[in-house]
Amino acid sequence: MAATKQRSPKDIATLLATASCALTAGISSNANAGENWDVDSALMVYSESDSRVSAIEPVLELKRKYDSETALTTKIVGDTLTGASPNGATPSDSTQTFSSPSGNGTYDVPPNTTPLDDTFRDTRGAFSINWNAPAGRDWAYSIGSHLSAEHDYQSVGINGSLSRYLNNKNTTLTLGLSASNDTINPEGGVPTGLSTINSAREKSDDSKSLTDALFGVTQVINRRTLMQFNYGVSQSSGYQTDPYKFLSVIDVNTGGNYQIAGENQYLFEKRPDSRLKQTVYWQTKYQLTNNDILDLSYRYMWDDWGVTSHTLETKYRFRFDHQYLEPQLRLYQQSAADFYQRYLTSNNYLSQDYASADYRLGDMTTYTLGLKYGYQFENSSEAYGKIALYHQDSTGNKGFGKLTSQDLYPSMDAIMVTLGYRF
Amino acid sequence: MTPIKLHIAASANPSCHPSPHLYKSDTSKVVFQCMASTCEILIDAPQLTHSQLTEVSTLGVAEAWRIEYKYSRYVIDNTWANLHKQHDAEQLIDQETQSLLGFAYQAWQLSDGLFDITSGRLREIWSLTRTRLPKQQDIDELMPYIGFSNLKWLPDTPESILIPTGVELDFGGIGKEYAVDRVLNILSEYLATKSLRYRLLVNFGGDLACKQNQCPPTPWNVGIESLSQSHRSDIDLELTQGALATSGDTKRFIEIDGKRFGHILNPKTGWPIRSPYRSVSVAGATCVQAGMLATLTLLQGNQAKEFINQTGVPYWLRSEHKTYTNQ
Repeated sequence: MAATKQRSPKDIATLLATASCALTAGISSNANAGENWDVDSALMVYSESDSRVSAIEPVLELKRKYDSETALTTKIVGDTLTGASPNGATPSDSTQTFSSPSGNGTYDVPPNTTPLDDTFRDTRGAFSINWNAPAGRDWAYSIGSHLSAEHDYQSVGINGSLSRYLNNKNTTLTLGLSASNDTINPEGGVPTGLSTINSAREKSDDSKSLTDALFGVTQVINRRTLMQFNYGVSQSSGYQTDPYKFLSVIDVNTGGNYQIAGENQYLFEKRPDSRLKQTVYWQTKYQLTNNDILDLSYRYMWDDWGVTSHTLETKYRFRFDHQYLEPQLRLYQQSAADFYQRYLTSNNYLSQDYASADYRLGDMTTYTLGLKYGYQFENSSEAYGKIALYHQDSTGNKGFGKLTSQDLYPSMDAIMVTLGYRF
Repeated sequence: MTPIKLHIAASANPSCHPSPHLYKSDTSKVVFQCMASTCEILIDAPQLTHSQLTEVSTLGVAEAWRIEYKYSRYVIDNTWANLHKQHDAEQLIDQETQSLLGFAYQAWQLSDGLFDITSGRLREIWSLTRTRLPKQQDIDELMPYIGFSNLKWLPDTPESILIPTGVELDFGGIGKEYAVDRVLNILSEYLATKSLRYRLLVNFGGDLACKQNQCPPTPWNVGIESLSQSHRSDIDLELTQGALATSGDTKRFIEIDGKRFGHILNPKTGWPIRSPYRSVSVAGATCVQAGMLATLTLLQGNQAKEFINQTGVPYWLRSEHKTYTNQ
């Protein structure tokens, strides 16, 4: 027999709705389950001016989508860096001699030249894996992990996030957490901070741990506008010093290198062993009536080392039938860390708690001009290319005596070229 | 506006339909033939590139044609034909067919046997070209083959079925609505990953469903075809999400001795349902739900209005001269 019990028409309507949803939704996700991996392969070449660092970086990203919200992503990155990087010492009117990081051999820097450590060469491999999926109708989560290694640095970490959708998915709240542990084993061992560069090394390695938390809100403002606001806090503790960077000690009487027993004095840099960074980030994407997309973002960062920075970035995507063209502009301005000093003097070099001459902790402004182009083929694969020009200007204390005739803050230019293909 | 012809691989066009036409605009339109209807898909997704628009259109058309071919009763070597080659023997059925049978089973139970997927054979007697009443004896001879309970199929073991000799499945009662929902789901999943916002409407000969992720939503203007003039609508409504399906197509009736018999057949008696109502349009969450409620409404005969009223869903029920609605 058919029905055992007569249902009310209202029940029938409800039960049919449920059954029909199961009928189409159930199979839809089955039939749509991607059997294939999406592949994004790219090669980036980076080159700084004046034969400083150059890098070649192949990137391979594999993504397997199970449905529109569930995916497994893995990424493999290789890096080969060659070239020279400033070692922190000031240029001088006479030739300077430094021992190479391993302690074996020395390199000379001619007069009036920014001292670069040209033994800089490294190969890095990194691997990351991420899983993101919905959890019920209103929640989504992701978990992931990364691993990277170069000959003197290893990093391993985990991350996770939880998102909550509100207002018909017009609002998304996200909480992200990540933790990583880095080990550094510099060539020649870990130097003692602020010791002279010929001092014996204490130990062979040290480590640093990093914890990050991020809270974000994404809001659909209207049919053309999407806005995102993030607050992030990051705490790192442990060894944060760059073991390959020095500071010159300058003679207060002459402005030249301070010498003891006829030898220039250089000290290893030393940074505090904890750092608390906070960032606020705002991004807006706006789609114009002609379908072009404007992307504008601003980031403010401050930390307990005294560094503050502003980043303003804008991209505009011109969209054509099979192609797009995207000019990009990024402006960055940073104020120096409290312990940043371009050099130490014969009067103060013994009384420092922390000191670093690393230009990355100094006052600086940079801008990046980029242009990206993409072509989409009929089979929905895409080839893309990007060229970006980077310019950096540093400023700071100009020194005294004969140091004033040296260029303590050379500007730097770099070019980045990326070619990629995804299918 | 000049349409673009969509080139669809022969493997995705087993019934050899003419190429679909794509009309590109702010709201692009794909028009094609399927299940004896003119079908259209409306896509408003500004971020789509041309190739993505072509891809998503092809995806939708191919899915509709796939379902049509798979369950057509007029093809020699499809799923439907193979199901009916082996009578009186247990056979395994695929996932999709299991789901459709599961839904048909639920509808049969909920309607107390009024909706029956095995009732297709009654058309042998009540063909639309008929000019004389059939003999009761002919109906009586056919009735033993009508009834879901003839099938050896249970929802607990959905993968196997036994179809007795003389019994036939007819997916026509849900196939078109099912195709509308499937195409809508597949296309909206695609669009959700490719476009910041989209609006989508799938309309197969008046059975339609729509979806959008836009806020605030912009409704689609949907018309219900007039009883007296085809291709003209006399009821216009706005639909933001969900589906609308109509049962009781005015062109499908049998007239014998000046008396009109509707095309909705009662599987319990073998006779057309006698009813003062000629068509009903029902709005629902999915096209399958709306279509089934519309069919069940007309199956209620004189009680149609009471039935649909009590469901609480929006409806437009028409008799010859009057339209009843709860809107």
